[in-house]
Formats: sequence, structure tokens, C-alpha cells
Amino acid sequence: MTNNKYKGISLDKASHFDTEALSMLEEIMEDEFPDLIQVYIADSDPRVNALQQALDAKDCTQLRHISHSFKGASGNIAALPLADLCFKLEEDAHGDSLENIPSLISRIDNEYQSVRSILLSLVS
Amino acid sequence: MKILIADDNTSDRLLLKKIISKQGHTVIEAENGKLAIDSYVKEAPDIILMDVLMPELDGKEAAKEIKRLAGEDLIPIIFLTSLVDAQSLADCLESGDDFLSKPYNHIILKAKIDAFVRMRTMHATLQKQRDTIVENNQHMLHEQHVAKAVFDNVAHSGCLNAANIKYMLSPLAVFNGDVLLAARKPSGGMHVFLGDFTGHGLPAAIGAMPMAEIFYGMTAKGFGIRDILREINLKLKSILPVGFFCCAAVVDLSFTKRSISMWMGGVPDCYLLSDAGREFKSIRSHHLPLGVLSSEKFDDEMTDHAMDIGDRLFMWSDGIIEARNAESEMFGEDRLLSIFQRELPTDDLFEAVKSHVSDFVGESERDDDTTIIELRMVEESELEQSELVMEQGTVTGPSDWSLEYELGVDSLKHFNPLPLLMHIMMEVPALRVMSGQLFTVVAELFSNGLEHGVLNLDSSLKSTPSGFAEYYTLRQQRLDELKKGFIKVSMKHNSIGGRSGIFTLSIEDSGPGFDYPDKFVQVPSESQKKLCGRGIPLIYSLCHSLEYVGSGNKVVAEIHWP
Amino acid sequence: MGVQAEIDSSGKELTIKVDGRFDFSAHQEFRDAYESISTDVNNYIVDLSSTSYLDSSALGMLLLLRDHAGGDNANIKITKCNDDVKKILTISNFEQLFTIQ
Repeated sequence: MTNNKYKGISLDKASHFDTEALSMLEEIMEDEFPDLIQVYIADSDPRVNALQQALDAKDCTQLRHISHSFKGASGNIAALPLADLCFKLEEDAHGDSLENIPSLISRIDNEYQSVRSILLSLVS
Repeated sequence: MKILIADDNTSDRLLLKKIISKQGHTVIEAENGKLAIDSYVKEAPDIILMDVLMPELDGKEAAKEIKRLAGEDLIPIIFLTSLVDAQSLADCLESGDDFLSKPYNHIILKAKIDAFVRMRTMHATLQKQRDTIVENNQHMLHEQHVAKAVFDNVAHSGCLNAANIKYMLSPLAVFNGDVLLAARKPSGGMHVFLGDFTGHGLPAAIGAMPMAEIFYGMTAKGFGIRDILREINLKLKSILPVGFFCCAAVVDLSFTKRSISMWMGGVPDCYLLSDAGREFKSIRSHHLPLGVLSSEKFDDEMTDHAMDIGDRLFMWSDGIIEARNAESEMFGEDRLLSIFQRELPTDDLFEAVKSHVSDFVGESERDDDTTIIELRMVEESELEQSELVMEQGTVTGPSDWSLEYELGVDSLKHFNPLPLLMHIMMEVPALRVMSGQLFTVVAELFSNGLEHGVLNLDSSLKSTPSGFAEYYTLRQQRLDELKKGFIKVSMKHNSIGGRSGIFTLSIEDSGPGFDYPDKFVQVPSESQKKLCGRGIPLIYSLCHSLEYVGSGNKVVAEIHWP
Repeated sequence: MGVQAEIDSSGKELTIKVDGRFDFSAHQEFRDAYESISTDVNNYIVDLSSTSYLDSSALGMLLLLRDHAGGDNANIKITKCNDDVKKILTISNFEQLFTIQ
């Protein structure tokens, strides 16, 4: 648990994952499970920044696209709470009012960090 | 199966790839819509899993293009989506065949893939079957064209284009079994034949060919219509399988006698109309169709009808009665009859029938089954001089000849010489037209010579029913016991310039003879009438004279033609 | 359109009934109706009470039955024809080959 620059990250699997789905995933992927984790993390690491940039540019279309992708990938990795947050962001970005967006991005960031740590712990 | 995964999300692709490979399929990947299209073209996957939202070209556009490229092949496309609202999901099905929601459920994915594999197999089978059907169909059409060409050569239209005939026959009629034949007779007059074979297609056409050959061949050789009917019936009976037959209306039209003789079997009523339209007669079928009965049972009886100049005979196959309109109603006999009750000018009737049927059928599928013919009585001189072509390969017949043929005891017991004698007589073309009657005369004279002359039987025995049976028992007995005797048949023919001739037949038996009356010429006396039994009317119309000579054991008949 | 066959208790009389249109589509069923009988049938009844229409292929099928049943020695009655059906049989003069009631 290095790089713990975030405060209050809980590492309780059950509150960040659908644990059943996650074990199923492990079962399916077999020895490629670590690869999957690697790929997910590699793809998702830049996403929060990308969201921020999109917000700064007030680019709603980008916001929607990124949050949509983030939502899908997270859902597939059984990180359902994270996926839900992304979904909310995707919906709000449709509405063109950007008020809630910053707080959503922040919560997504936090949630992602938990998810990330837990995933890494599973494969180390 | 080879499955293409098009998704811009690497982790999603990885997961899918794993799930699908585990199911035994090969996986190819594409990161966006454009690459998906390229992959489709290059790799020809069997099924495509396509993410909806992708950069470069989104899933739906890519799917549309791929479907277009696939043409009539089936390439199932399953959309991958995390959209949840019903409308979006429904929209997926517009350009794709199914959708799979994220997060992916591997059980559902497997089930969907299996379902599409089954569908592809079924689709491919259907395509193959369809292609086979198309090919077979083309073969059949080609064969039909060939068959039609052969048929047209054999069953040519004869004299259907004569001035006194109007007809309607579909050019493809051979394939609905309808046949129209017409031929001028060498002795003057015309034979007309309307036929309707059971069934359709080539089987119907095949039966028509030998029939047309017989009709044209025998007419040209001068044979009578009843002989022709017999031959046709025999031919059809022998070549057609049980259950196949030809309904027919046959006309022997005589311009000189202003009358027609008709034979109808299995066709609808035909109508005979006088010139002014005032007299209307409907003539119906009395016979079974051709090809049903054996020769022994076949009935060639014809009915005679007078036809003055200008009178018309209308005949048709049942296609006209059965013609259906869009509501599947039949045209029916009543409608047909009503056209004739309308007091239209008789010259317009043919067209009226045609247009009524055509209007009735309207736009609905034409069966092309309507065959109609109108025969008008005219002066023969009105018609084009026909080239009375004698068939190539047949000799025009010997013109002057004589022949003697003697039958001894053994032959009389076991051999029936009549067919042979008839055959020789038929070599005189002009005699063919009376072949049936000639046969009766020859048979009568021969049996007289055999039974009264050689076997010494008394014909008065035949006047009672029990005597009748006794007569024939005795006949057989005496024939079996015969030790001596003969019958001598002589024939002589002389033709005068090929336009007329005299045929002489004499039959001499070895019996003692009898007390005979004088030679009759055309007008027999009462005692002479008694002598001839059932051959009476024929002897009058046929023989110029009939004479007994010697002790009465020889009879000489002279027949003049034309 | 359907074909029903019924054999009587003596096993000697077969009744074949044709419903609806008696045309080429009935061909196989009609044949099966009399060909599949193993007993010695010597008497046939073709019941056309529910037959709306007869075409020339049906006439052919009747001829096939007659051939199967002994040709000239066949004993076949065609019964309960409606007017249309009767007309078709009459035009073809089939009463010369079958008893039509």
C-alpha cells in the first residue's frame, strides 16, 4: 500500500465490489486475471485527469464519453459503486448544467483509488 | 467459430476474449468501428460483438456498413452496451441482431453465441437449398424450351390458319396439356382435333406428340376419322400410365355434305350456332376420354349435325370454364352460355368470348389455359388450295394390279385372313376413307363363303336365340372336322388417270353353291336384300354392283371410287 | 382437404372419404388409403359427401383405384356427390366405368 496520498481509503472489498461477481471474474480469467487488472488500471489511471480536463474545457460530450467508458470498464471488473458514480456523471453531463460535476469527479477519484488498491492487493 | 470483438476498452476486450476463447472459438479484435469493418473484410468472422460507443466510427454505423457488405449472407452482430434505457436497447436492434449488457454475464453470452451459431447454420442451409432450387428451375425451363421446339415440329398447326377457323391457344399451351390440330383431307373436307391432357408440363406434352403424328399422318393418308380415333386411343392407352388420359372433341367436317360428324369425350359442351344466330344447339360429350378404354371397349360412335354455309361450331377446353378471378370464382358455364344468349352478331361472338374471359380473370394469375376454336361452314373453294402433300416415304399406291389368294383346310381352321386382305386393300389410298365399311363387307362375304359354302351351315338356324348358339357350336364342330375345302380370294384394281378407279373383289368357296338372284346394280330387289344380312346398307353405299356367278359359289363385288 | 379410410367389419368393404378439394394434393393420401389395406377388399365406396370439387387429376386417381381393384372387374361406387362434382363426372362419362349414386 504505497503511494497512499489519499486519506481515508477503505480497503473493504465488499463495499467497493460485487464480491461474487469478482470471484467469478477470477475464475473465468484464470491465470490471466493479473493481466486483466493491469490493463484496467493502465486504462483507468488517466481517466480522472481526463474528466477534469473535459470539465475545464466545459466539453460535455467528452465528459459523457469518458464517464461512459469508465462506467463500462468498472462494471466489468465488478466495481459497481464506481460504475454507478460514473453513470451519475454521464447523466449529469447530458443535462448541460455543470454544477454537480466537480464533486462527482472528486468522489469518482476517491472511489477509484480504493478500487485500485484492492485490485492490486489481489494480484500481489 | 471465428468471433470479432470490436470495443475501444482494452479491459473489456480482454475479458470478452477470455470468455469466448474458453468456449472454443477463435477471437479477432478491433479497437474502433473502422478497424471493425476492415477486420470483417479481411478475416470474415462468423459473429461480431460490437461496442456501441467507439471513436473513429461508432458501432451502429460500422454495423450498417458491415451488413451492407455482407449482402444476403447472415452476419450476426451483437451490440455490447452499458446503456440501460429501453429505447436505446431497442435502437440497437435496428442495425444489429441482439445486445449484451455490461457487466458481461458469461452464461448469457455463451447462450447468445450458440443461438446465433444455430441461426447461421440454418441460414446457410436455406441459401444452399434456394440456390439448388434456382438452378434446377433453370434447367427445367431450358428443357421445356427444347421440348416445345420439338413439339412444335411434330404437332404443327396444320391448317388452323384456314379462312374458316378462328382459334385461341396459348403458345405455351403444350405445357397445360391443351392441343389444337387441324388438317385438310385429301378427299376434301377437314379433320379438327381439340385435346386436353390430364396434368401439366412435360408429361402432358409427351402424350400429345404421338397423337399429333397419328392425326396428321393418317389424315394425309386418307384414313377415316373413326380409324384415327381408334389408333389414337390405342396409342394413348398403351403409352400413358393409368390415370392419365386426353379429353377430346373431334370433328369430321364435310364441305360437300354441309355437315359435321362429332366425337366428344370428357370436354365441356360445345355450341352450334346457325348463321343468323337463331338456332342454337349445345352438343355434349358421350364418351370417356381417350386413353382410358381398351380397343375392344372403345366406342368410336359419332353424332352427325347439319351445318349450312355460315353456321358456326364453338369448342373449348375446360380451362375456360375453370378460369378464376381474384376472388377465386370460376368463370363457369352459365357465364359462357349467357354470351351466346345475347343476340350478338355471330361474327363477333369469338372475340366476345375472349374478352369476357379476359375481363373476368382480370389481373389475377393467368393460367393461360384458355383454348377456344370456332369452325365456320364455307364453300371449300373459299379456302386456299391446300397442298395435299402425301407423306414422304409412302408410295402413292399401286394403280393397276391383281392378286389371288387361296386358303386351304388348315388355313381355314386356324388363320384369319381378313387383316391381311384389308392391309392389301388399304394400299389403295382412295379406299382408306371407307376402310371400316369395306371391312364389314369383306368380312360378311368371307364368312358367307366359309359358313354357307364350305361348312354347309344354314343361316335360318340363327333366327332363334337357342338356334343362334347351336349354329355357332355347329360351326366350330364342322370346322374342326373339315377335311376338304378352300376359299379363293381375288382382287383387282385399276385406276383411271389417278383420279378414279375400280376395285374388284371376288370370293369363291368350294361349296356347292345355291340358287341365286340376278346381279344387282345399286338398287337391289327384296330377295337380294334378304341375302346380305347385316351388311345391307353398306353394300348399297359402297358397291357399285354385287354379282353371284357360276353355281353361286362365287361372288364378285365391284367398288368404284371416288 | 383430407382423406379418411374405413374398412367394415367383414374386412371386405373399404370406404374412402375425401374432404374439401379433391385434387393433386390428395394424390399420396388417396393411394395410401387403398394400398395399405392388407385384407382382401372386394368392394369399394368412394364417399364424396364432403368433397367440394374434383379436377382431372382426381379423375386420374379414380382410374388408378379402379385399376388396383381389378380393372373391368372392379366393384366401385361413388356416392353422395354434390351437383358440381356430379357434373364433372358426367362430362367425362365416368358412369360408364363407375356406379355413381
